[in-house]
Amino acid sequence: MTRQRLVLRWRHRLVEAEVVEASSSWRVRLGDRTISVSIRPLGPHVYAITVDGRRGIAHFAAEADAYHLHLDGNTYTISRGGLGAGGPGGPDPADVRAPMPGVVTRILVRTGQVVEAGEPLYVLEAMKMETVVRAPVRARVVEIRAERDSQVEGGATVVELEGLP
Amino acid sequence: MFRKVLVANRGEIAVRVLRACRELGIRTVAVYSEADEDSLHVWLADEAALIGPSEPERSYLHIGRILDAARATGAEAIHPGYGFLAENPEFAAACRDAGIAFIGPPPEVLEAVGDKARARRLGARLGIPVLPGTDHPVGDEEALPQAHRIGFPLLLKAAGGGGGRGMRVVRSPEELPQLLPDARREARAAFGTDAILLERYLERPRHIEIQVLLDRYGGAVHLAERECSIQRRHQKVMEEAPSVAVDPTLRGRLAEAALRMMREAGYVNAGTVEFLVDREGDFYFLEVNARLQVEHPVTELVTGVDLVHQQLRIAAGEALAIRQEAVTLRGWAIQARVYAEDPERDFAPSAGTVLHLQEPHLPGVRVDSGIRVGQRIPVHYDPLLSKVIAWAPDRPTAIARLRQALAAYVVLGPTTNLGFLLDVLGHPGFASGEVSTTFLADHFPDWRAREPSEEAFAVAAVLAGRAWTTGAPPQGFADPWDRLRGWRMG
Repeated sequence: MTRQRLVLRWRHRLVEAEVVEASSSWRVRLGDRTISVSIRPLGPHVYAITVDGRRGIAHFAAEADAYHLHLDGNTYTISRGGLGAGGPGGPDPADVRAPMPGVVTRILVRTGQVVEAGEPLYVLEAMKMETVVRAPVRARVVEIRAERDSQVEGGATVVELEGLP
Repeated sequence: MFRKVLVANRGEIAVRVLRACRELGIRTVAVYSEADEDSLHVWLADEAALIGPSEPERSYLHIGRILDAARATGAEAIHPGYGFLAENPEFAAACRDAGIAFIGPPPEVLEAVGDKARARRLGARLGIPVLPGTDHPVGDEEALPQAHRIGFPLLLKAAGGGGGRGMRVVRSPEELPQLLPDARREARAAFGTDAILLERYLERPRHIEIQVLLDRYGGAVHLAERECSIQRRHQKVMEEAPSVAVDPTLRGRLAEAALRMMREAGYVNAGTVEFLVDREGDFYFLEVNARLQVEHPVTELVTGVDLVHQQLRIAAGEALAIRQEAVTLRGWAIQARVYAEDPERDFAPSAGTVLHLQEPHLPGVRVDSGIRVGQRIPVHYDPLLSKVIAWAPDRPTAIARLRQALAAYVVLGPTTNLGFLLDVLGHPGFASGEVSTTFLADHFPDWRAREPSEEAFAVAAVLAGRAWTTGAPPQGFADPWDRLRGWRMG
């Protein structure tokens, strides 16, 4: 019998799962609930599943540390907790990395400035659309790492924040 | 008819046009940028020409390179699709000078109707209602007095193009100095000109447009209306035909105004005249779209007319074979645009590789797609991936079909708006047809994706265990999949 403990992350929600393999299925423990899962591959990325007696089709694809799951008409991107920027303690609430590659057209804050949640930090232009990146929480601007009109990669840190209580 | 046509576009519209050409026995040429080497349209064409790097200015917007490709392949005509060079008079003129047919209106007409201010003056001259506004682009000094003359709220609009780029709603005089430079900057980036018009902003209007076809011999028909009120940031998300708000009388008045305008402009080929319709059923001319529209399929499904075939026939010099009396509306069609974007991040475009794709197959459902498995979604272009269009005998059934189709649509890799579209379709206000251009802003100001259920986390946990084995498995990890394979065989 194999037993595996893993942490999954969806947005800011961390879920600890213990996966125990039974004879032809798995028992997954999430908190105090145990869910029985059986899975049969039908083809690349497509699985016939039974979850607590309910049958369905799941579509699943894995990237470096993100999993994409389509189930019951919904698509979820779930990452491995404890990996990447999130760290074991969960995602960094002050993570305001560029959501996509683009050009920083305006920087709206200065180093040292205290910003409130929702306050605009910088404007990124990509695909001819302007996207305003805002502070997710009350924070102090620690560093500004990009210049106006510079090209940045998706995921690049443009403004570094330090969360404030 | 042409023997060979070059399609100067990419994505779903290039695919749509390439297929239409093939249906008429026309050989096809695709053009592509370096970012699109693996894109679907490149593989569908008989020939494909690389025209430059990823940046649109050096590929899909580069007139010289596209004409070179047409000459090198012996294409007799160019279909521009929508966006890029579709409404560029300079491009249409360059095609004509090169002896290549441009599948669209003549350059002089593009110039006249593409200039929003000129189109507005033309409408006003013909007695078509227009909203109070400026009939020429405004300078910075002139903006405030003009704004006071028109009244608030008002809309800043880019003179050079549509799609919501360079558009801002100004609710008070104090907002103008901030929003005008914003609009100018966005307009310059999108259309190469920062010319801005001011117009009275209607609260909660419907966006209704009339599809027309005109040949070069004076033949003209309209194919009724589309309603495109479901918009976010002034960009259409869902369209339908017909409209719940248009009765035969209003349809007749709108169509008459549209055809009068297009005839007067000397328009040839497929085009659309857009209107805003208020609560009282009064309508105002908005603008002319001198091209095939993204939402053209809903018209095709309710009228049975293939608009791309008609474009090709008209451009090849054929006379319209459709009589107005023969145009009837049958059933209801609704289109949802599937974008690679994150509705939770203010609809920011998302990039990524399509890891897995399953398109819906249902009765009455059409999918116009520009993607395939393994394709990287480039960040350089419009994030539209595909369109799902459902037809049914009536509107409630069309909604039900479209919901089923979107729920069965699997795109793994880039973040899409599929979940958002499903929630919009499930909204009681959409079902009742009580929509306006602010419907999304009113009802979905802060939309959030559904959280995975515990069951979904459980499935993900088991499948993730298997995925680890393809990378670096954690220490001491035993692959449950080995056992599973044994179980399957046993």
